[in-house]
Amino acid sequence: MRLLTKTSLYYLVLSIPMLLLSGFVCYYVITQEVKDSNNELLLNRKIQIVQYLKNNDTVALHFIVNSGEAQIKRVSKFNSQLAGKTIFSDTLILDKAENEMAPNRIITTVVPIGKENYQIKIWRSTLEFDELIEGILSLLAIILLFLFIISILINFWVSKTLWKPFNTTVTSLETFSASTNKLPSFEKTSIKEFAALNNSLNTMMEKMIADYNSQKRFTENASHEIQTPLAVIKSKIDLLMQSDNLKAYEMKLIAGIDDACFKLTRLNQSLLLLTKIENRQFKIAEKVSIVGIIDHSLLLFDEQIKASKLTVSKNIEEDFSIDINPDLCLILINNLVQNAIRHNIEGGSIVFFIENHSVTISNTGKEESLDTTTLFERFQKKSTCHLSIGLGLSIAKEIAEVSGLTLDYKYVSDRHHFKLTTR
Amino acid sequence: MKLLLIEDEPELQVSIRQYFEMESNVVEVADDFSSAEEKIALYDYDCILIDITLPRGSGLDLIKTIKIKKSKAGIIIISAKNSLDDKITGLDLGADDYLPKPFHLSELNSRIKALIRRKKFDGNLEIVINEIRISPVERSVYVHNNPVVLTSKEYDLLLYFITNKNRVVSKSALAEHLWGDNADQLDNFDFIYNHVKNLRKKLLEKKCEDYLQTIYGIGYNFKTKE
Repeated sequence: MRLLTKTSLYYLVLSIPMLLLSGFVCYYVITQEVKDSNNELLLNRKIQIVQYLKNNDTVALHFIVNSGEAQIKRVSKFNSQLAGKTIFSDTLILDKAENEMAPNRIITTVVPIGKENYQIKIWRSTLEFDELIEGILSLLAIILLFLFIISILINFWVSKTLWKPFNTTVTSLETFSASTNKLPSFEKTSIKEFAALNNSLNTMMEKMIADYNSQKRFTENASHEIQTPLAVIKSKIDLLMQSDNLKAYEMKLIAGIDDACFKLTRLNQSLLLLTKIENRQFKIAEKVSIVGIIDHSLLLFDEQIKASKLTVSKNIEEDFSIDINPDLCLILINNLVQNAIRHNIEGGSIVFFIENHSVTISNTGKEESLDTTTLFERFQKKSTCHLSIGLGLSIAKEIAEVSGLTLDYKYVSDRHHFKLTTR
Repeated sequence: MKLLLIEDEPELQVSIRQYFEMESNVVEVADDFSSAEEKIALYDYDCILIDITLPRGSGLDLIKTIKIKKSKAGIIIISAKNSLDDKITGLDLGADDYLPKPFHLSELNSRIKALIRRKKFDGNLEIVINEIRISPVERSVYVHNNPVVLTSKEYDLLLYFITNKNRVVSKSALAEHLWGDNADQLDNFDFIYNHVKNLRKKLLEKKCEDYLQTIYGIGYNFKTKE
């Protein structure tokens, strides 16, 4: 759920008890006010009636009694305590017009006028409370509806304008990659929180790019620096081999050093290749036919294929060309083919399936499904063959990435499948 | 043969010098830019080996100097920076070959010999070792004037052995020579063993003397003298 929807939902949910509470307050205040004004009115009328009684104004008295809002009775005895006191009370009186009992405020008082005592009752219909509650509730409902509509509008406006910098930040972060060396440009914002977020993101990304570059530079420099001592070692081995009268034991030592040196050379060259690919130093892209490259690669591996008695078949549905550096493309296909040969069983098979925009290389193998999380990582060596350095697949992955291809692995019906797809 | 080695790594200087002086070549060494410039100006060489990164200058500028002098010397760049740009610039400036470090001395030897054959004899020179005759232009081999049919790899092997005759050549040097950048795609050195076995068999069939000695665990020696 979006943050804005959630906050406005909270507001709405919280506003319901608030509205109910204010409804109660309204109800209380209104009834109190009505009561007060009624009391005042009734008292005024009592004073008027008492005046009329004193003046013996029978016409006015008659008029008042006839209006059905007062009753004047002559009483003979009464509790002297009640004299002069006014009692307020509520009562229900039948409303003839509506034919229902309606709430009324009533005052009862006994006044001595001359020698007579008069009991005066004056009433006045007050508010009907159920109607009042109904009114208040419908008012609350209308307010709630307005709040809802307003919150939707605010939501819309806020997400359109206020949250825009945040959204652009998120979108530009998605495309960020330290290897491209490009900082995404964030929208300038006057909102303090977003500005702080953008600032810290910028610092973080600058650091990432710097770290990435220094790591890359380190690998590159290290690889270059290793080349010269390696050349010295190699030349010394070559010279040492030329000595006469080497004993079998010494020759074995030399052979061991030579093997290790060979491996170190390949390893270092592969690391250099990786940094070059990462640095995107292979620029020239040409249209390269996939079938052509596969044929080229198979020619290179002819001996190995024959030695392992592998059958190779090509299933060409549609040949296609990709825009790629031809050298890199050959390395990519070579590494995949080599992988398919190296991890194969004797008498196994390799099948190429070439369709529009994708090529799949599948092979039989000794192992079960490979761990896809580490498969393309560097130095993940699975094979026992001692010349393998464990960089082949990570180089393939890296080439695929810089060339706009995707390289996937899956294990289906006892065969390993590597699939290259153009994006 | 007179070689000039322009290289600042002392141990590599010593190795190259020793290796080539075994075959009674003259190897002169320059270890920085100015002494290299001086030697280039004063003397003539058959082949000049140039490291690109030198103290106080770039090997690429030395190539320009050599070309201005219209020297006939072959130029081979030996560089630790295996960069395509350097290679292209170097070859454009007039270098004849580019050999990235680290290399085997036998490979350097084979490159120098091939270069000198190309330079001096336009490649028309036939290589003759006793009963074996190789024509590099046709890539054909004769033993006692009978043609021997070799595969491309067997031919390369034989030529490599002959240019490095009477030297021990290691399996790894052969692997790098035959497979180049694809050498890491070999699972083991058995393939070399097979090629050598076939080559030897084909030569012996034509009544060629068995020059190829297997050096235990290390490699081979094409021995033409005792």
